[in-house]
Order: sequence, then structure tokens, then C-alpha cells
Amino acid sequence: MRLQASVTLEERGLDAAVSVKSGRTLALLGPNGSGKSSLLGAIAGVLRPDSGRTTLGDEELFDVSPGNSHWPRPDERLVGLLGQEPMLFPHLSALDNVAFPARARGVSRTEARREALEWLAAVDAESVAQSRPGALSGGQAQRVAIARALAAQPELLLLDEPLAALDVDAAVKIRAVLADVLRDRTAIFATHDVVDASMLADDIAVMHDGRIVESGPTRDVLTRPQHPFTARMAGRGLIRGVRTDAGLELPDGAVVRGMLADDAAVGTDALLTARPAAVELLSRHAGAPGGDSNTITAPVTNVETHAEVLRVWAGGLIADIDLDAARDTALARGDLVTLRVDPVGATIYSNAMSPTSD
Amino acid sequence: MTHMRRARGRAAVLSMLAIALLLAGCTANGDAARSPATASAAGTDLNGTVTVFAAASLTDTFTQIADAFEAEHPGVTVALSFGGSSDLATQIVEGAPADVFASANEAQMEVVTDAELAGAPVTFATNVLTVAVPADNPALVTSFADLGNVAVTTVVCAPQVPCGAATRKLENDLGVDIPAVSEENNVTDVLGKVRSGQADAGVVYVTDIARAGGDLAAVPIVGADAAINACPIAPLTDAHNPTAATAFVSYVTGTKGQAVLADAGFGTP
Amino acid sequence: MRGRTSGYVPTWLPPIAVVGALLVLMPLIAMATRVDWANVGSLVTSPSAVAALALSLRTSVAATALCVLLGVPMAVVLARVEFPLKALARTLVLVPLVLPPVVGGLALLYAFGRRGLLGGTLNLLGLDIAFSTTAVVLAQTFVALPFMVLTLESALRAQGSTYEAVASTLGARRGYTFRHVTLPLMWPALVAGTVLCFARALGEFGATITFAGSLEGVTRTVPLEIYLQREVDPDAAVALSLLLIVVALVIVGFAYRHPGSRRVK
Repeated sequence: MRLQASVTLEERGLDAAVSVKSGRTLALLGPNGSGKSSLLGAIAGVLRPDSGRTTLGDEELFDVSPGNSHWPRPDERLVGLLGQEPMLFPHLSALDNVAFPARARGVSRTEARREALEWLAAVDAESVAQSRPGALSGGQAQRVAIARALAAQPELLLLDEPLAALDVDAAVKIRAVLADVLRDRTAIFATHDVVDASMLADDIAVMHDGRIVESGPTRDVLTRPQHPFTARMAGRGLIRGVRTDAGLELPDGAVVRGMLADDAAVGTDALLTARPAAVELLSRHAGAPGGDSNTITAPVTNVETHAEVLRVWAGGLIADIDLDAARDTALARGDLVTLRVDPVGATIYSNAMSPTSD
Repeated sequence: MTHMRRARGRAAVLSMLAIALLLAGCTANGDAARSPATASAAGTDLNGTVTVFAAASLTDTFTQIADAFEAEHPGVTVALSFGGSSDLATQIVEGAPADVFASANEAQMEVVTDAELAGAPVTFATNVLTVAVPADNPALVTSFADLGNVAVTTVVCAPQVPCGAATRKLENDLGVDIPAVSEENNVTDVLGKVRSGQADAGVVYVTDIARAGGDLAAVPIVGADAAINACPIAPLTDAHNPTAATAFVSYVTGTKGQAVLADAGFGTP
Repeated sequence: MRGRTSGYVPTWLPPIAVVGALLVLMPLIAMATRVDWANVGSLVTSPSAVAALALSLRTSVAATALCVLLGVPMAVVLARVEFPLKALARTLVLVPLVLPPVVGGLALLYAFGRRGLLGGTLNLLGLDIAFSTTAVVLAQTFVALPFMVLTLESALRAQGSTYEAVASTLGARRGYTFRHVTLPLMWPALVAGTVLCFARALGEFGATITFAGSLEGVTRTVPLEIYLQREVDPDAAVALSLLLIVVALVIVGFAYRHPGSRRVK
């Protein structure tokens, strides 16, 4: 069933609309505080928005607007919400936690427990059925929480950073469980982690300061970002320019070559993206860009250590230099540097957001 | 290390000291308020403070008497402490610093004399029982005998306390059996029940009604003299200010004190 | 076993704790020295003492039940429902805590007495609670109820309503959530509140004597019996007080037997 939701909540700066196609998983990708939880909370019914309307298939989940207030309680919606913390009921065993939704529907204890055991089996957690939540590890508890959310048989499943509180090992395992669970299920998966988004979601909506800045199929959004914020989340460089025969012409007249991803017309606005691996920092004392060298020269806008490398932003592109080299160069913001772009590792495509592109 | 230990020890000692000072401060204040300036007791006129423990039923009369006594002896301050006679007796036996004890009954004075804390008590007033009813007298009580009617909600003092013992004696002597709905510890509680209309009638002392004011009316008991209550007073043997104590007792039993008591409805011994 | 947490306690603190403990213990010890141990048995089994004890237990149980019945909804509303003048409502509910019990008794008299605000109404309904055991229960409930509300409300607020929200997203209706999530989670606080209420009801004196009166077997509870016995037989009063303390200790011991039962994260 297709979900269409639009929500505004001024207090949290939220003004966003998303849609999820039936049976697909949408990743709501954005940093902490971007409004993901508020959006999910409104859809689930635990946070009342200022205004908004959400439909799931033919059914209206809620409609809050001036002069109209249709705001059913969460239990009157067929929406499951799985949070960062498992929030298992501390007074019930794992099994009875999972049996809770069925018991609340009026199913007998025996039948509810039988079903619960099946749900626990589905997330590979039958072994902890009799344990109290306090005795479970973070990963085990999250498995039980997933089973419990599924046991409510929601038509829409909302997941709010379900992996964020887990250690790396547990996160890998729960990610696999979720990949299984989310197959053919209509779901929204809020995450700040581009890896989770790319592995679990069919589509991505990128959220920034309470607004959706771009959305589309996961692969498209992550490999051909339209918005600088998306590029940053995806860890890619992004520069804008005008399409030429050979590549992308920058405002200063320089032309950068790359793989042409679509048949955008020459002269239209276009974008070039490149992974850090395809960008090489030549030297901080570089001269003018040569025509064939496929370089741009720009001041450094940001420098960060990133895993085992020093990550340098300049002119919209990102280059990684290893820490040994970094020690010698002592780069700082504002230093003029020259970056060489590997044309094979760079993609040029139309700027869908440009007013001239359509 | 040693320095730290010492610092910690000092903190502990300081906190103990602080509490000790606080407590000491409390008692010091208490003493200052109570302790008489015993040093200058010489001379004919009295001075210092005389502490009088008096039954609650004597609140108005003893306040008046104390004022008059102070006016005659400008050097003396009378500190009055009112309470139930049994409370006061217990406090005196437990060492409360009193100079005079005026009890509402002989039984509680005996508690103090038995402990050899008071000399020979003197009866300074008597009191008789009466029926108290709300001002509008809803149960139309006209005599003590009416209280034998179950329809009249009557409150009395418990037989264990003096006013109750006196009531029980009257019941026996006058042949009335009161089906009381409550047996209170003291007259004040009886009056409270009657004044609020919760009870239709209560058995109390004549002076209590005079004290209680307008919301109540009294129905005199014919034959109340069968249970006369005597109020004794005595200076205490451990008095801080024995001369003033004796003088105060004499004043109460003297003409001026007796006049105040008679005005309030007390009988003379 | 070296103290695992004592390392975080400032050194000046335990001495103050000791002073506090002494303040509480000294009167108890002093009372124990006055007990006429040889005759305790006969003193606390006298007919009037037994009547008072039976009445006290009966009324305290009834008052505690009322506190649970009324206090749980009050606490839940105060902790979970937003309404105008809520701060004022919370303050008013707690008033009996600061009100001298005697004044509480007067207030009850003005409300439920024969000439009180509701007295006429109660009379019409054929209810005459003046000088009845019902009046005792009413007085005890009045003074004990704030303990229940206070205990439960602070527990509920500390808990937050996240578990209820989770239950709701799992499809549980409000009634089911209340019975199967809210109540079990506040169980430890409910036990603590119940014990406090029972203890307070058992010890209640001022409001009872002012509002209900004092008659053996009807309204004279143990504290009233102690107060009366003190007039004639201090030994009996002390023996009865001892009995009350023993009952209190048993209750408190029962309540704090499982202090770790709150496993709520």
C-alpha cells in the first residue's frame, strides 16, 4: 500500500512530504536533529503535527488542517514504530513482549505465545524467549523489539535509527535481519548512515533542517546527488557547471572531463560528482590548470581526519591524502590547491534542480 | 595523603560541630526565654520570671490574674503555659522547669505530689457539670434526664478523665444512663462536637460554656452538686523562683484572684 | 566486602546521617526503657486494647483500599493529563500533608458533618456518618491519600510515557495499555504508596478525634486508645504504642523487602 505523508511542525522546524511505494522501503537519510524522528512520530501518531495529512492506500491515517482534525490514536492506525532503543516492557519476558500485540488484539495467551515464538524465530531469537529484557544484550533486545513490531502486523513499518544504539558487531547482524524483514514490506527507515540507507532501502529521501532536499531511487540519489547536502552525506564531491561536448565547464572557464551519464544537451546546467578516490591533490603550490591535466584550482574549504586519511574539501570536490603526506603539507582552510580529477571516476549528469533543465 | 586524610577528618568534625552548635543554639534560646534572673532575688519586692503551668480550662482567668499580678509586682514576669492537666503533670514529672502547677482536678495534682515535686496543694476553685447544647438546641434538651434518650446524640468525656468520671458519678447519682456516641478525652473535644452541631448535647463544666462563647447554650443540671470538681494549685519544690511562686499562689487564692475566678463561673472552695 | 560506593560519599555526610538516626532512634529507645515488660502481654490484650486494635486494622485496611481506588486515578491524571490549573490541583491534593490533622478533622466536619456542606445531602441519602466507623475511615483516607498520590505521581513522571506510546503503536487500546503496561510498571510505587497509606491511617489521630469522636469498638482506634489510656495508665499507653511500632516495623519491612524490584531502565 502506498504511503503519502506531509507534515509540518513548526516547533521542530519540520515541513516535509514523503511518499513510499507499496512494498518498498524508503530511507529517510539525514543527520541527527534534521526532523526524521518527528516525521515518523507524526505518521505513527505519537507526535501531533501542526498540520499535515497522511494516507496509506485508500485509508486516511490522519488529516490535521485548520478547521479539520482527524487524528486517530496510534492504536487505531496500522503503523508500527521501531525506535533506536528497543523499549521492551521490563516486566514481561521476551516472549510475552512479542506476544503483546496479539494479546492486545484479544488473542488467547497460548495462541499469542505460539505466534510470538514464530516471530522470534523469524529474527533468530527463539533462544532468548524466556529471558527478561534486562538480561538481554543490545542486539538481542533489538531483535526482540523487531519481532514485537512485526507481531503487530502493521501495514506500514517505521524504523527510527534502529541500528544507532548497537555496537558494530550487533549492527551488522541486525542489519541482515532488517534486510530480510524489509523485503516486500512498505517501510520508512530513518538513518544518518549512508551505508544503512544504501543496503536496506529501495529509495532515499534526504532530509536537511526539517525539509526533504531530494529523493529518488537509492542508487541514483547516492551516485548522482543533486543537492550538495546529499553529496556530503554520500561522501562525494559535487560541482556544478554547464555541459560542454567534452565535459563540464566551470564558472571560471575551466573544463573538467568525466563520464557522461545521460544525453543532456550542451549548454544546459549540469553536475559532476566524483568519489574521493577519483580525485588527487596535486600540490598546494600548483600553477594554472592545464587543459589536458583535468585539474581545478580552488581554496581549501574544509579539512578533516577521516579514518586513516586526511579529507580535504576544495571547490566542491573531496580528496583524501594519507596522513604521512598530510604531515608534510600542513593544509589549512583558504590554502589554494590544485586537484586532478580522474575522468573515469567522475560522472557528469543533468542538474534536475536547475530551473533551465526542464 | 595525610593532608587529605586530615582535611577529611576535619570536615567530619566540623559537620558534627555545626550540628552541636545548632542544637546548642536551640536550647540556649529556649533557656534565655525561660530562665529567670535569679541572682537579684534580694529585697522585699519580687522579681524575675515565674513559670506557671495551668490547665487549659484556666486560660482566660489565669491570663487575667497574671496581668494583675504583674501590675502589682513590676519586677516579675509571669510565663504561662496552658495544656491538658495530665500533659502538664507528665511534663513536670519529666523535669519541665515550672514554678507553679494549677490543675483542673485533684487526680493530676496527685501525680505531681506523689512524685514529691509539689508541697501541699490548695483548692482554689470548684466547678460543676452542666449540659451544653448548640445555641438552637435542635434536640430540645431541657434536663439531664433527656440525655438518656437514644435520639439525643450526646457526647461526654471518657470515664478515664476527670470530667468523664464526674459525669459517670452524676449518671449514677441521678439515675440517668447516657448512651453516649463518643467519649472524648477532654472538654474541648466535647464542646467542639456540640458547637459544630455534630452532637445534640455534651456534658461539660459550667465554666467551659462561659469560656466557649455564643454558639452554645447551657441547660443546668439539677443536682450537679453531687459531683463537684476541685481545682488545686501548688508551688513546685524545684521552683527556680520559689518566692514569686508562693506569692502567685497566694494571689490566686486571695481576694483578687478569687474575684476573677468567680466572674468566670467557678465556685469558691 | 569493601564499600563499593562509599568512595563517592563526602566524609562530612555520614556524621550528619548518624545524628539524624539518633534523633529518630533515641525516643524509640527511651520508650523501650519505659515499657513494663512483665505486663505487656496483659496490657495489650485488655478488652479495650483488643477492641481498639481490631478497629484500627479494619479501618486502616478500608482507608488504604480507598486510597488505592482513588489515588491511582488521581496520580495518573496528574502525571499524564494536561489540564488548566494543574499546578494548583497538585498543590491542593497535597494540602492534607501540611494541614495539622486536627484542622483536617475540622475541615471534614465542615464538609461532611451534620451541619456541613454535604451533611444535608448525606442525610437525605440516609447516610449519617457522625460518630460512625465510616467517619474514621473518611478521616484516615483524607490524611493518607496524599501519600499515595505523591508516591505514584512521582514514579509515573520519572517513568515517562514512552512505554505507553510503544504499547499504543503495537495496537494496544488505552484500557489494555493501562492494565498491562502502566499498572505493572508502577507496581513498586503502588506497593510503597499502599504501605505509606496504611501506616498513616494506622497512626491517624487528630482528624479522627476531631471528626469521628472516640467510642470503644466504634471510633476509638489504637492512637485514640493510647491517648485516653495515658490519662489513667501510662504503662498501658506505652505498651500499646509499642504494639503500634511493631506493626509499623512489620509493614515497612514488608514494603522494603524488594527494593530492587524496580528494574525499569
